[in-house]
Amino acid sequence: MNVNETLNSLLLRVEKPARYIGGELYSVVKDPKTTATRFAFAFPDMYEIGMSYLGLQILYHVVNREEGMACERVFAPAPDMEQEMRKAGLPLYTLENKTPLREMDIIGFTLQYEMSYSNILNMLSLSQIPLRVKERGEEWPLIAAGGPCACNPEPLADFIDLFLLGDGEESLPQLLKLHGQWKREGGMKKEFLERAAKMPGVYVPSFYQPVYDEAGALTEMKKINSAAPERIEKRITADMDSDVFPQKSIVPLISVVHDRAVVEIFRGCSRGCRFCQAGMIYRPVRERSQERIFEIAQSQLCATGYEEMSILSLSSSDYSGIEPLVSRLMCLCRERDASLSLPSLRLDSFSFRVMEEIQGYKKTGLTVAPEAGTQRLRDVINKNITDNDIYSAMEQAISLGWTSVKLYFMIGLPTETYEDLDGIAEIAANIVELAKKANGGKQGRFHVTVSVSNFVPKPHTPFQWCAQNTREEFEDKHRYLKEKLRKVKGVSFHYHAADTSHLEAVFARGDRRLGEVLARACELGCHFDGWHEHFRASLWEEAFSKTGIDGDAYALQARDEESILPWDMLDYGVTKQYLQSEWRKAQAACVTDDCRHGCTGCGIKRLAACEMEGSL
Amino acid sequence: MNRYVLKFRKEGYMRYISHLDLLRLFKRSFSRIGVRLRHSEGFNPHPKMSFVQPLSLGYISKGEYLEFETVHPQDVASMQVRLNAALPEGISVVAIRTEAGKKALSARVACASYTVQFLDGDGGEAFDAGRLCAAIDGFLQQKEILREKKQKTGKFVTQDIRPMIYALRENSQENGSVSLTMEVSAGSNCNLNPEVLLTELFSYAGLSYPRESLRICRDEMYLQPADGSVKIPII
Ligand code: SF4
Repeated sequence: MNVNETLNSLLLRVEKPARYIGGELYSVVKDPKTTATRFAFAFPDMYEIGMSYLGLQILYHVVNREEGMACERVFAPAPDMEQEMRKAGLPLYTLENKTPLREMDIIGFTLQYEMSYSNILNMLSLSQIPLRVKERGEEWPLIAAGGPCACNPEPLADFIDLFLLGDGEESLPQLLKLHGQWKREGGMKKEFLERAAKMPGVYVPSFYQPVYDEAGALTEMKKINSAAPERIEKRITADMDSDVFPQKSIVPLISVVHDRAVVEIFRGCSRGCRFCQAGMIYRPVRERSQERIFEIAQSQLCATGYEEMSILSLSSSDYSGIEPLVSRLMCLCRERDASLSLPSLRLDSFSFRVMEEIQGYKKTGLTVAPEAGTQRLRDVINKNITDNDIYSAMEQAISLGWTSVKLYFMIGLPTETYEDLDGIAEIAANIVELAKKANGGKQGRFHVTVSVSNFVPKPHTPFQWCAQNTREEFEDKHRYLKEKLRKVKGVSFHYHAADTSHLEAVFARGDRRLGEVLARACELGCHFDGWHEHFRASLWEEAFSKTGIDGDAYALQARDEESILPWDMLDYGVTKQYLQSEWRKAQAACVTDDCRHGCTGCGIKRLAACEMEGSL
Repeated sequence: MNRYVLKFRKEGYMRYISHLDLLRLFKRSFSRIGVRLRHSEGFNPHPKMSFVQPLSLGYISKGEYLEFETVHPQDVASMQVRLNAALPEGISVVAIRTEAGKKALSARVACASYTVQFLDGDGGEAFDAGRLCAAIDGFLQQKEILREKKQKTGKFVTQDIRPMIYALRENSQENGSVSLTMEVSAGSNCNLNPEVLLTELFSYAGLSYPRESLRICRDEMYLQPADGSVKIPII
């Protein structure tokens, strides 16, 4: 079948056909005939989401600049396109060469959120590739995966040949090079996997066999191939100033979620919020130099013609030279008629000054994330923000003329009581009061939005042993808050659906037995579970009941600190002992300082240098 | 004032990008080559740049036009070379000239020509091409060709499209398939969508309309000189 012809006959029947055509500026089309290893970067969500993800741009760049390998892209087609493709028998293809995925050498899925797992299986099915590793003989491509959720890869172990742990910009080209050598020598898949398993950061799940006791508890991850290491260390890109950052990033033809130039200013975070997986698995903090950031920003703006530029990190204010950096970037953007956007800035006098300058009259988009309603609970989660911080920031905002703010909280956190929920309502009410006071006692048009997400215990965090709230508990809390906040004028309330948070917890801490459920869910038609309009809880219930697997247990049961966890042999640098000690401190509401004030002993130092240690 | 008009082609997969996408693409391409566009005044300034006539999603074109104003005067030849280097495959600038006329071209364009090809085989619905071609003369000899047109208000009015058709003919091609070329009214005053004409033609010929097997290309857009005699391409 000719992909191009079939595509032309169906593209006008679907919404936003440009999602499926490729051809963007700086996309790279290499000749398949002269490329030893053809890699498909697969993003298991829509084009507009995937193209906003910086990791894609980085990996695309580091692979395509090498000879003998090519990186092409593929995204999950929207349901209307999927339907047309299935009707026409058109298999999923890469955007660059329009090659069916099943003809590629390696397909690599990025795991950004658990709720995209069903899309991974669905994309394989759309590619007419057998789902399970054991059903795929020598003729099928290798399926790889990486990204944050690879820190507990077990629910996907049945489907994925190998996982890349940690930063990918060095390991992916290495893996593809290894593949090229192996292909030249003409070996079996298993030989390639054995060679790959010796590479740091590679986890080959079929080389390990989980062993369960009679009660169904995991007792061992038994190594069944001698090439496999005992423990797998995540990869860490040490030098942020090397040339791995793309200056000519692909410029989408349609508008995507983040349609702008972006520079990552540092990786990692030293604050140590106990619920935050990113804060733990991306350690240590590695800054990119101001010179390098500026150089990248400048060449990206010139090369892409974007009208907006943004910086990226987990907490921008923590960059050691944030003030001079921001001033320089402001100048650059002004010269080029571009706007600057600065997400995740802490609200202090500096950031207000900056916002005044870059936003002018547009006073929208102010956000604060206290995460919890009381100081006690904020101490439990180690979120270092006080009531005073919140209110003084709000006073400043109000006096500068802001008229709305969005507050982010999490509910269902360990040790939470209804008092903590009351605290959420109090903060909102107090902010409204502050605005009233500034407005001469009148309500005015100041508006507070309270946005609440449901806590999900995540692997490799101090809360990895915690039980999640039941869906009913979450819903009770939503109702309670809704009722409380209804009474406060000028406040609106948003919350996330409890059943998706529940499912997220199941897969976040799941084990290999969940593979059956995933396969069944895919068969039943689950896809785009992260999209409210596509998520169907009843299908998932059916998948669990048909396979006889108790999903609830994965989310709701607290784990014993001594128990063996499915991800124990994956070394993300932060030690289990440290997580345990943090968990105990949490239960005693004791805080741990930001390690820029001095090392707190998380363990990452064994793997990489901590350049920011004690820098404050 | 530095006013220009550029002629470009939209081909291949680029036929699937919308009007707004194309505007953004040109805006960014100007920025990439360092040409600053003049912006409108006011609260929400936007660049002074517009297409002479929008093109339906899915059509290809050999004669699209973009009007724009720049802050600084430009050398058109060099701008064309640099733009082509900055545009993705499928969009290419054929010519650029300065534009002196006061009135926007979108208000002066009068006519557009299209070529329609019918695919058979894979994606195409088969139909009796001979019967279609035989019907053309009769179709054009009608005094009026009436159709019901839905207005923005939702009401239907009867419209005569015959005066909007300047030419319609078949071209037989080497491989035996047929294609049609047409010249029809275009512009903000009076505009005939080629698919409206085709629908009427197929119905006149007593054939069902093979919507999915059409490939439509806009070939050129023309201005009507004041005396109304000959039509001249914009560039
Ligand atoms: S090892 Fe110490 S300095 Fe390094 S990240 Fe961990 S706590 Fe911070």
